[in-house]
Amino acid sequence: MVKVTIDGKQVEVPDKTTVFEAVRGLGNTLPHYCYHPGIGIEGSCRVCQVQVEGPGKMPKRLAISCRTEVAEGMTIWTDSEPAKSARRFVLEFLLKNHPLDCPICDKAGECTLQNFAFDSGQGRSRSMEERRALRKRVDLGEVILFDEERCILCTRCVRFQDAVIQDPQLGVRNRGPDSVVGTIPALQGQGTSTGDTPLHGNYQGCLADVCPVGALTLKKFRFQARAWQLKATPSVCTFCSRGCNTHVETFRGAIKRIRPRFHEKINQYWMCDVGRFAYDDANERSGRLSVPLVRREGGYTETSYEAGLAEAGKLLKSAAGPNLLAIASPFLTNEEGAAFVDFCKHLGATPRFVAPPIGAADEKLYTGDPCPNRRGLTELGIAPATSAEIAALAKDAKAVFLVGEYALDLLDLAPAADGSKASAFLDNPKLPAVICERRHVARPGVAVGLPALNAFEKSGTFTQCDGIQQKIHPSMPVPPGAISDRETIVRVKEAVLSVGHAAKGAH
Amino acid sequence: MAEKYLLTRIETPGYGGSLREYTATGGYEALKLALAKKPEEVCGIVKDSGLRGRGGAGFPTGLKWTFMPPATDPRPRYLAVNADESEPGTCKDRVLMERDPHSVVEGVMIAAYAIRAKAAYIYIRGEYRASKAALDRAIAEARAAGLIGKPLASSGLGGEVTLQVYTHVGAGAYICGEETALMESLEGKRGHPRPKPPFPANFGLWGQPTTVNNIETVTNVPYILTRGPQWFMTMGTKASPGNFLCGISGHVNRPGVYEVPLGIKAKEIIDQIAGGVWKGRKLKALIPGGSSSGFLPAPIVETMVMDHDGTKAAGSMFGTGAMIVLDETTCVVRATKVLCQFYHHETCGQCSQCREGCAWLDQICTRIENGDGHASDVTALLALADGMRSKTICALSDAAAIPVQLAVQHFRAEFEQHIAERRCPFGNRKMEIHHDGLHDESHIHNTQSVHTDVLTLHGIQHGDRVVGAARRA
Repeated sequence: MVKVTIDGKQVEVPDKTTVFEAVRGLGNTLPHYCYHPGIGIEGSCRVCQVQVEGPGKMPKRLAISCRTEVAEGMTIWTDSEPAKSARRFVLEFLLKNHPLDCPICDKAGECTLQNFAFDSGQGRSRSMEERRALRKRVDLGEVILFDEERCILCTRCVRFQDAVIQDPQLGVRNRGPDSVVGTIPALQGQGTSTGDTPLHGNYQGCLADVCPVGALTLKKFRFQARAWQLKATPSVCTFCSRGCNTHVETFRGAIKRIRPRFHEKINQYWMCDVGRFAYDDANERSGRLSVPLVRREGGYTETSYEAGLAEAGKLLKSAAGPNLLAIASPFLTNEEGAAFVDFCKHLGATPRFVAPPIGAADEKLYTGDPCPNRRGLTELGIAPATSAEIAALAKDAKAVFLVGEYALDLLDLAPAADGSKASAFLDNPKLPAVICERRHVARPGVAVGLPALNAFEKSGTFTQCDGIQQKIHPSMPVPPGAISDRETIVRVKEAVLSVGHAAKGAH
Repeated sequence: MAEKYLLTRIETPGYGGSLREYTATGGYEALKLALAKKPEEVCGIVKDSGLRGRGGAGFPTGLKWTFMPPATDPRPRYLAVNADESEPGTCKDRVLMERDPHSVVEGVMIAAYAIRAKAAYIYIRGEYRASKAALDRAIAEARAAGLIGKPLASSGLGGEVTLQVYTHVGAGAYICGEETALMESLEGKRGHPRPKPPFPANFGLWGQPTTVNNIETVTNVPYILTRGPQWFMTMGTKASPGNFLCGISGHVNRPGVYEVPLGIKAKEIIDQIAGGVWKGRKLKALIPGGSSSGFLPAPIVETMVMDHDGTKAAGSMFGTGAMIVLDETTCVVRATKVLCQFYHHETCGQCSQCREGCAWLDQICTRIENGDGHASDVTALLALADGMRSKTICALSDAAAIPVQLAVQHFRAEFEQHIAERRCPFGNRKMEIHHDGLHDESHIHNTQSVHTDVLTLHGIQHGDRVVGAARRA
C-alpha cells in the first residue's frame, strides 16, 4: 500500500494502482477514451491528464493518469487549472472534426465524448474549418455498422480484437488526421454492402460496448430507442451455462438491448453475441398463454387456474408412480427446481430435466451448453436426460408432466437418426400430458396447457457452470394473469394431493 | 579556422571512402583501442568528453550509454543507429554515410561495444539510397576483413567480441526518426512512438535493452577515443564540446554541410562560411536547428551562438543544427504554412492533440496566407499551439507547435497584416487547392520560386548541392 494525496485528500491505495484507478476509487471518473480496464492501457487519447508531483523530487507536471502508477508520497491534482485546461484542449481537438450529429446518434446519452465534453469541455469551438467528411454507414457485417466520422481513433476496438479476442480483424488505415479504423480491405466478392470485409466471431457486439462514441453501433439497436429512455435491469444471461452478468435494457415493455455487466470471475466486461441478441423470442408476446387451457371436445378452452389445475391434478394422480414421466426444462431456476423435486417426491416420479449434449464452445465465454442451469438442477438431484432417453421412457409412461420454457425446443434440438422427433410421444392421445410452456402446444397428447414464464420475467437463482449461484431479476412484465413456474409446480402438486381429499369431502 | 575532424577525410581530394583508404588514414585504430578496454571504460571516456547527441535533443551520449542495464543482465541488447534524418533542413548524416561510411561503421561498432550490444541496426531514411549503398558496401568490406560477424581477435584487433551491423531502410515517414517509433518500425510495425516509460535502455527493440544514437553522434566517438576527451573538449563550449555538422540551406550564397565548432556565432556561419544572404538581401529570419526549432528574427540571430544553450537562450533549440536562412522577401506566414503542411502530413495520428492540431494549424495558416484569415485566428493559433505542447507521447506535437508559436511571437504584425488586407502582402498568389485539400505541391515542384526554395523541406532534394558544397569547402 502507498499513501498518496489526491485533491488534498490522503488515501492509501495498493501498489501498482494507476492514478486513474486511484482517482476513480474516490468516486471521480476522469475522462478517458483509449483506456478501458478490460482492454488495457494505451496512453494515446491524452484526455485523462492530471497534475502530479513526486515521488521524491519529481517536479509538478502534467501526466496521463491511466499510465502513471501511484508512488509513496505522490500528490495528485485532478482539478487544478493546468489539468483542466489540458483535458479541455483534448476535448476541443477531438470535437474539431466530430460530426456532432448527436440528435440522430444512437450513442447520445451514454456517449462519453458527450458526457465529458459536457462536464469539462468548453461550450464553443474555435474551429472555423469544415469538418472532415468520411463514410457514415460502413457495413461491417451482420452486427456492426461503422460511422467513420464519429470515430475518435481511441483504437479500443482494434485492441479489443487483438488483445481480448486474440483475433485481429480491425486496424487503422492511413496516417495522422487521415487515419481511419477499418477491417482489412475486402477480397473480391467477400465484402459487405459497402465493400468492406465483414467482421466475424461471437463477440462483435462488444465492439459497440467498448466504442466510447457512436462510431461502432449495433445494427439491431439502430434507432430503436434513446439511451435515456432505456430501463436497465441487472440480470444474468440464460443462453448458455456461463451465466454472464447482464443489463437487460427495456423500453415500453420490450427488450431493446442486452449489455454485459462486469463480473470479475465470470465474464469480466464481455458477453457473446448468442446471449446478447437472444431476446427476440422474449419480445414476441403474441400467442403467449396467460390462463390454463384444457382439452375439450373439438379443441382447447380457456379455464380458470383452479379448474385447470384441478384437471391437471386429476390426470397426474391417476398416473402417479414411476410411470409418471416428469420432465423439467433446464431453464428452471434453482427455486423452481426444488419445487419440481418436491413434486416428484410426492408423486413417486423420478425428476429429470432435458439435457441435450453440450455443443461446441467458442474461444472465450460461450460454453456451448444450452442448459443455463444444468449444474444447479443436477445438484438438486434432478437427473439430466437426453432426448433419446426421454423418448424411450415415454414408451412405458402413463402420463407426462413437462414444465418450463424451451423444454420442448431442447427436446427436439437434435432429431433422432431416423428423423423422428423426441417429442413424438405428445402426439399419442393415449398418453395424456400436462405441459407448462409459454405458448400453447396443441398436440393430440396435450390435455392441459399451463402458462410458463420466460427467464426475462422471472426472479430466482441460477448456478452457472463453475458453481457460482446468481440471481436473475425480472425485466419484462408477466403476461396478465399468469403465475410463476414455481407456483405452478407447487399448485399442481397440491392439486394432485388434494384429489383424494376433495373426493372424500364430496362423498 | 578551427580544427576539423569529421570532414577531414571527406574534404581530402580523391578520398573515396574505401576500407583501404580509411585504414590508411588511421581508420579502425579507435576500435582497436576500444577493444583493449572494458566497455565501461569506453563509456567513461565518452562521458568525460561531454559529447552530446547530435540528433536533436542533445542528450549526453556517455550518460545515455550508462543507462543500459549492468553486464550481469542476461538479456540481449541492441544498438539502433538513427540515420532517418528526416527533420526538414537536415542533411548532415548523409554526408558522413555517403562519403566516409567506414567512419560511421567504426563509430557504430565502438558504441555497440560500449553498451555490450552484439548487434547494431542502422535505420536509414528511405530516400537515402546512396547512403544505404555506401554503408552496405562499407559493411561488406568490414565483414570481408573480419571486422563484422567474426570474433574480432581473428582480425588482429583483439578481443573475443563478435559484432553484427545491419542496415534497415525506412519507408519515408518523418515519425520514424523518433527513437521509439524507429524501433517499432524496425520491428516491422507501424511507426508509432511508444509511451515512455519504459525507456529504450530497459525496454527497446523487441523488448530488450536498447540504445538509440544518431549517426553524427557515433561518428564522433572514434575521434574521441584516438585523440582523447581532453582534445575533444578544446573544441566547442564547456557545455557543448566538439564540432558539429551544420547543414545550412535557404537564402545563402553557399548552402551546404560545414563542420564548425559548437558555440560559433550563427551570424559567422551565415556571413562567412555560407557566403552571406544571397542576392545582396538582408536576413529576415533563421530556423536554427531544423524545422522544429522555429523562426528567429534577424536581431536575435545577430548575437546568437550555435550551441544548445545559445539557441535555448534565443527561445529556440539547437535541434539538428540545420540552419535555414530566410531573406527579407520571404513571407513568414507562408513559410509557417509550409511547415504546418509538413507536420500535418507527418503526424502519426496517435495522440488526439497532435492528430487534430497539426491539421488545424495548417488550415488556419493556409487561410491566413490565402487572404481568408479571421481576426481571431492569431490568438487561436497561439492557443492551439499551447494546447499541443508537452502533452503527447512524443515530441512531434511540440515540433509542430513551436514554429507557429515563434512565428506569431516574432512576426505577429505580418500575420495581422495578412488578415487585415485579406491577401498576402508579399504578393503570393492564392494556393491551388488540390483535390484532397491538403497539399500545396507547388513548393515541391517549382524549385525556381524564391519562396519555395527557402523551404525545400527534404534534404534529399538539394542533395547534389550538399555534396558539392562539402567538396568545395
